[in-house]
Amino acid sequence: MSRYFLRRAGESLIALWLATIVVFIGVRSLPGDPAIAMSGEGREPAANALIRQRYGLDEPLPIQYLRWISITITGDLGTSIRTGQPVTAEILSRIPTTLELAGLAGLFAICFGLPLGIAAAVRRGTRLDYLAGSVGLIGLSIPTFWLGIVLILIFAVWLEVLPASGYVPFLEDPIQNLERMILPVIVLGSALGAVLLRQVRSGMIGSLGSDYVRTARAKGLTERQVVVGHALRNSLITVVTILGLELGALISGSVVTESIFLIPGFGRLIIEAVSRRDYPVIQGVALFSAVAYIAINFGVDLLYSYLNPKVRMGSTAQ
Amino acid sequence: MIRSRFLTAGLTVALIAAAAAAPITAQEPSPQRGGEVNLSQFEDADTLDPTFAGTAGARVVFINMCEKLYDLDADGALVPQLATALPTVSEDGLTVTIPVREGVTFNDGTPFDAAAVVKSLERHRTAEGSRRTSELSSITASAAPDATTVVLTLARPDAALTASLSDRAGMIMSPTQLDLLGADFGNAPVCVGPFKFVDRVVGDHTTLERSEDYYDAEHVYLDKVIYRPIADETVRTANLRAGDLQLVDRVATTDVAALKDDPEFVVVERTSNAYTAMTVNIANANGIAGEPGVVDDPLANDQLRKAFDLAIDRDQINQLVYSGLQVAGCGPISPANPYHDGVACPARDLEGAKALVTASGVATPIRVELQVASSPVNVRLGELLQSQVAEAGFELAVLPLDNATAFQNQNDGAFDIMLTPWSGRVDPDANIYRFHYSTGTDNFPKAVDPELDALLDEARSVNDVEARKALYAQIVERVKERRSVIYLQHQVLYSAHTSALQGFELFVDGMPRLKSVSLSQS
Repeated sequence: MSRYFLRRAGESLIALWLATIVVFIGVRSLPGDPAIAMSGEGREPAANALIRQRYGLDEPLPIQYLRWISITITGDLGTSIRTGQPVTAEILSRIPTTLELAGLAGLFAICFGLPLGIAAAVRRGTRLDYLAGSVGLIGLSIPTFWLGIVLILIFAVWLEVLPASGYVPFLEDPIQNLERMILPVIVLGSALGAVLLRQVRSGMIGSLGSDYVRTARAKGLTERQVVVGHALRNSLITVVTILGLELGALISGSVVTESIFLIPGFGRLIIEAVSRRDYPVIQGVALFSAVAYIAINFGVDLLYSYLNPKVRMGSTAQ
Repeated sequence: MIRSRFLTAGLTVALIAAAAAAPITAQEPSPQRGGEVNLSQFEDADTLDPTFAGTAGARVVFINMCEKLYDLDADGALVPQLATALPTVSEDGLTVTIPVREGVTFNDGTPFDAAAVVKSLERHRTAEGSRRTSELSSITASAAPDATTVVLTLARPDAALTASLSDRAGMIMSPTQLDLLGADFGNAPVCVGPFKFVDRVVGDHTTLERSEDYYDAEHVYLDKVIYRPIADETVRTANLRAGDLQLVDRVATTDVAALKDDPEFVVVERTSNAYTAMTVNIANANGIAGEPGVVDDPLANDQLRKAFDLAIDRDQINQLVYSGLQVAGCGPISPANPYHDGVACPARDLEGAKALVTASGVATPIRVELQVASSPVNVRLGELLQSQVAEAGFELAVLPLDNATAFQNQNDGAFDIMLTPWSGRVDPDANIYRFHYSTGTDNFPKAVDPELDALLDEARSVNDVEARKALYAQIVERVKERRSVIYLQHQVLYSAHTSALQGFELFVDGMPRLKSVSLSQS
C-alpha cells in the first residue's frame, strides 16, 4: 500500500509541475494585454506602461515563469493587477462559497441520481424506468444558463417563494444561506444527477444479472439485502469514480451558475479575472484548480484501491 | 366626554372644509428616511480610487460617495458642487480661480478646504499611474491662497477643464485618508458625499451608508446603498422583477416596453452623450504608438469608406436592433448636448453607394471584417449591417470578440472595422479630441489631418460658448466627411426601478444619483 501511495504521490507531483507550465503558457496565449484590458475607457499610455513594468509583463516569458514559480512554491500566488489584493487571499475568500455550492450540488445529485438509478434498474422496463430515463435525458440536455433563468422566473418572479440571487454566508444566517442555495444547487447538480442516474442504472443492471447476485439470491437473502448489500456495493465503485471526476466539473460548472445567481465564489472570480486578463489571478485560480483536481483524483484512486483491492494488487505486481 | 366628541366633530368638519377649499393636486408623498436600495452595476469597478479608476463601473459608485468640484444638472449643464461658483478665468485664459465651500467635512470628519482640493488635484495630476493625467494636462500648478480659494495655473487655455472637474478629476479625497493609505486609498475611500464607503467584495457587492458628516445630510433619505455588479441584462431585469434589486442602472431596449407596461415598475430615460460608432482602420499599420502606414483594409480608401457609410440605414438599425428606442446619429455630439449642430443625418443613399463602389473599380464583393465585443445586441447590429452593406457590394464578416481581445486588436491595428461604443462626456472636447486628433490616445484609425488638429486645439482653448459652437460645427463636418469613425446611434439610457422608489432622476451621464431618493414605506 505504501509503495502504491508513494508512486501515486510522485505521479501527482509531476502532473502538478506540468500543470504549472500548461497554465502559464495557456494564460500568456490569451490575446489581450492586461494593462489595456484593465483600463476600460480610461486609456492612459503612461499608466498602462507602469502596470506592465510593475507586474513584470514586459520581461521575457521564461523570466516571468521562473519568477512566478519561485514565489508560488512559497505559497504566495502574487497580487491581483485589478484589485491589488493578494491572490491567495482572494481565492481563499471565495473557496468556501464554491465548496458549499459544489458540495450541496453533489449531495443533490446523489440524492436524486442514486435512488432513481437503483429504482430504474430494479424495475427495469416499467414506467418508472422510462420516467427515470426521461429525467436523466432532460437533466443532461438542458443548458445550465437557460435552466437558471427559468427557475428564477418560476420560483422568484412568479411564485415569489425563493430569492432570485445573492449569497449570505452560512454562519451569518443559515436559513437565508440555504434559501439562496436551493436554485443554484438544482441548476449545478441536475446534470451530475442525471449522469449518476444513468451510470447507476446500467451498473446495477449488470450486477443484478451477475453470478454472485444469483448466488446471493440462491442463499435465500432478501431482495433488499441482494440489491443494497451486493449489487449496489459493486456499483458504488462507478459512483465514486464519477463523483471524483465530476467534482472538478462541478467547480468549473460553478462559473456559469455563480454568474446567474450572483454568488461570489470561485467561478465568478475566474470570469472576472479572465475578462480583465488579470494574469496573477487566472494563474492562481488555474493552479489551485489543478491542485484540487489532482488531489481529488489521488484520493479517489486510494478509495478505489480500498473498495477494490485488485486495483492495488494489480499495480504493485507491475 | 360630550365636549370632547363635539370638539372632535368640529375639528373633523373644519378639516374637511379646509381640504375642500384646498386646490386638488396630485401631491408626491414627502420623502421618508430609512431603507436600503440594491442597485445593479452594469460592470464592476476596477478600483475605488478616483485617481486610478478607469471603468464606468467605478463612476457609478463614485457618484454617490465622492463629490466633485462641479457636477451636472439633469440637462447636462455644469453646476458647482464642492465649488461655490463656476470658475473665473483670467483674460489670457491661463489662470483659473475656483471658490470652494466652507463648513464642509469629509466623511471621516476631516475638514474640507482649498488645501485639500490642491492635494487631490496634485495627486490626480502627478501620481505615478494616474488615469487623470490627460484630463488635467493643461494644469502646471495649483495653489490654495486661502481656505476657500483654489488657483490653477495653466500652460494653455483649457475650455474643457470645468467639464473635466465634473468627473473623477474633480473628486476631492480626504487628505487624512490619503496620508494613511496612500496608493491603497481605493480599499477604503473617503470623500465628501451623501453616502460613505462601508465595504466591498470585488465582483459581488459594494456597500455605502448614509453619511452623518455630509453637509446636506438632512436631504439624504436612504440608510444604505448596495451595488451589485451584474453584466447580463436578462439577469438584471429578472432580479428587479424578483424584488432582489430596487433599481437597475441599464435596462436593455428589449425589456423597456414590458417594464413600462408593468405598474410595479417605473422606467426612466434620458438621451445621453454616449454613442455607438464604428472605428475604421485607415492607417494603423504599426499600432497606436507607431507611425501611420499602409493597411490591408479596403475601407482605407476614402471613396469606399464613403460608399460603406452611405449604404447604412440608421433608422432601420434603430428599429430592428434597438426597438426604435435610440436616436439615429451620424456625428460625435449628441442632440442632448448644447454643442449639437442641429443638422439631421442624411437618409440612406444606396444608389450613391453603388455608384462609388463601381467608380472605385474594385471587384465586388469587397470583403471587410467587423469586430464587435461579444453580446447579443452587438451581433444583431453586425448582422443587420452585413445585410445593408451587401446591397452596395460589400461582404461584411462579423467577428464577435471578448473585450480584452477587441481592445488589443484596436491598439495593434489588427482590424478593418471595430464597433466602438463610448459612454460620452459633457464637453465635446472629451468626445472628439482623443479620437480624432492625429496623436490622440484613441485615434485607432491613425487618421492624420493637420487642419482638423488645428481646429481641435483652437476649440479647447476658446472659452466663449458661441465661438466654440462655431468651431465644433466645423470640426463635426470634417469628422463626418473623413469617416475614420462612422457614427451610428446616440444612446438613450434606460433605468428601471420599483414604484416604491421615489425621487429618482436619470441625468445625461447615466450615473444613478441617489442623494435625494427615498423609499415609500407602503
